[in-house]
Amino acid sequence: MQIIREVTVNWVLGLHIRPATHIAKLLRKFSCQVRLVKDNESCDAKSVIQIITLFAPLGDRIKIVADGWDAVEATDALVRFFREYSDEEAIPKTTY
Amino acid sequence: METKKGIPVFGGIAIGEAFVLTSKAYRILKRFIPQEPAAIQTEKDRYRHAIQSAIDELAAIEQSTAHSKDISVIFQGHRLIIEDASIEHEVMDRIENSFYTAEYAVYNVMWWHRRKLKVLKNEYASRMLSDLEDIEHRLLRHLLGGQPEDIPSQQKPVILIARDLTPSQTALLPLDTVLGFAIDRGGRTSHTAIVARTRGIPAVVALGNCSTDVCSGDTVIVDGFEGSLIIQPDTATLSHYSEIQHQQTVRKTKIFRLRHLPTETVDGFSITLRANIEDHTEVKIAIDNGAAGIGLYRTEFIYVSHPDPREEVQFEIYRQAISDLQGHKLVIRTFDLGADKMGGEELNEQNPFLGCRSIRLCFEKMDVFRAQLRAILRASALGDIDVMFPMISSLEEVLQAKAILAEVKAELARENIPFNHNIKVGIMIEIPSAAIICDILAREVNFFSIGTNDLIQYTLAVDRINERVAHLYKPGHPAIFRLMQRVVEVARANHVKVCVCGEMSSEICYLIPMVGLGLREFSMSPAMIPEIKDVIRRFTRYHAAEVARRVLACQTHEAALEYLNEEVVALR
Repeated sequence: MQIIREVTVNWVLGLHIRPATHIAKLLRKFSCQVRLVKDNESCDAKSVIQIITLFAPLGDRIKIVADGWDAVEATDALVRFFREYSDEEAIPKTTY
Repeated sequence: METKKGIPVFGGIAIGEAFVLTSKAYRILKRFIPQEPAAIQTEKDRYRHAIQSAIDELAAIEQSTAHSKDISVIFQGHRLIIEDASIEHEVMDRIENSFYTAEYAVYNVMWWHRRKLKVLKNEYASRMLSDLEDIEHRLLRHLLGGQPEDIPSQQKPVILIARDLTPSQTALLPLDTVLGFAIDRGGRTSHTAIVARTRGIPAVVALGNCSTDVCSGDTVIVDGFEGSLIIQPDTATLSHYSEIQHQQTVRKTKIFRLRHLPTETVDGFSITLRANIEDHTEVKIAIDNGAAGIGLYRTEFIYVSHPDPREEVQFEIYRQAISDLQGHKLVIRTFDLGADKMGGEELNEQNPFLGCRSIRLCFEKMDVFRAQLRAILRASALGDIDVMFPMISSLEEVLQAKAILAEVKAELARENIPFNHNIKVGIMIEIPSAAIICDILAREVNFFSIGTNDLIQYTLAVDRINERVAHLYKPGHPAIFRLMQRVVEVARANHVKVCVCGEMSSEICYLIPMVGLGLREFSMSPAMIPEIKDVIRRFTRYHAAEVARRVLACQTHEAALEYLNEEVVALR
């Protein structure tokens, strides 16, 4: 089964090594293949180096494409991660 | 003597001996191994052995940095990259098919990954680049059997100079002996910048090539205010900076002692200083700095970090904040967000600052707004909490927000959930129309909060983030003082309290005339409170009123600022 969902990078520092590490670790539990797609590039979401060299700064839209019997669960977990993970070291933007 | 300019990342002066951290750059030559199975096997084994010891080393660093999750997860990332099958596969492929030596294979593979980031030439990319270089360096070191890098181990305090600090270096540095940082590369969000800010160490980054121009042992000065590095300063410069540094220390200790003294002018006119915070964990910092509560809690951060900020989540956060406040006041501003942050779907607005944002957006996302009001009301049963609505431009908006608040109150009453029935309601005065009709609005609310940043932006039609017009952002513009004067007078006549919560309140030159206009409540970043308190304790209300009168007579921002700067100098 193939599942496609879209997420936004919400971290001030972009999809850098810290969130990438969490993503790769989180996906190891699943057997499906997961790719992150941005514009014309894509990468294996289970590989930290591939995620960080995909280069996705704050505000980028990324497509999650998962293939396999547990694709629904994997995408759900990933979408939740993109929504809920707060990158603590990141500096919040100030508005008055 | 030589002075270099960079980007200041943390203010302060550091004077001391330089310690230049040289990261040994490995020069890897393109070398081949004999094209025979035994040689290939040896090379592969060398690589496997190297990654295993690199992985062990990283696991040990992970362990030793476990107290700081932010840092230890970076090393975990490095370990995952090294363990990554795709890298191993690429390296093995080059050994087997191109007959590269293991070190050249590693260099070559990493070069390809780095190249992708290098062309991007921006701060995010350079951050990730430094992670990749760190990994490559570690692998090569294990392949070539090198020792871990020198890190200043002596007890002597030093100013650390480097081309760039890798995450591993920053994590392992004995930061207690580091007086300052001067770094060739990086930007405001680089590893060094973050370490400097959290540890409060003066730092300048993006200095070009200071690490090659300075020798270990040279005397250097890091000026974290101006963003400069002075190499081998002459006697005059050295004594000038020693003096500044001395004054700084004296001031800091003195101001720190003031923390718990009352905030009042020389003639006993008492002023309330509260803190602006973005996150409830800052409450403790605010109290430590002597804040009399929180004057502006920007709840947007909750929304951004919990995009499904249910009532329970918020209630828990507000409850925590009020308990940390130990009886002080907490003013909660409802979500002040642009559509991009609040909906998922991005409205392509031509003019986002004049678009559907803040309270306007809350009226569209009624479920989100009501959930926030419920959480605020429930927390109001536990302590002194006020609610404040942002971006008010008309009476209708105030009435609508109040009507929704009343509905939510009725709902809670029906459910027998306790809340403060008389919770005070305030509005932000940040749109000129609200300042102009504040007499109409005053009848509906308990307090006003002047958000100077947006008030200036909307009054002068200047986006200060736009570099081409940023110079037109003028807090001293007569229009701003006149609007403020009007709000203060109307508020006084209607017994409505007024607070100033923009950046102007923590700028000494504007603070004096604002006190003169009759303002008695200010809210600012926690770190500014001790210094502002010190200033307030140096002038009289009578003098401040005189300053306000003279500023109101100024015809331009420049004239006002010139006069106000004289006043500030006279105060010191």
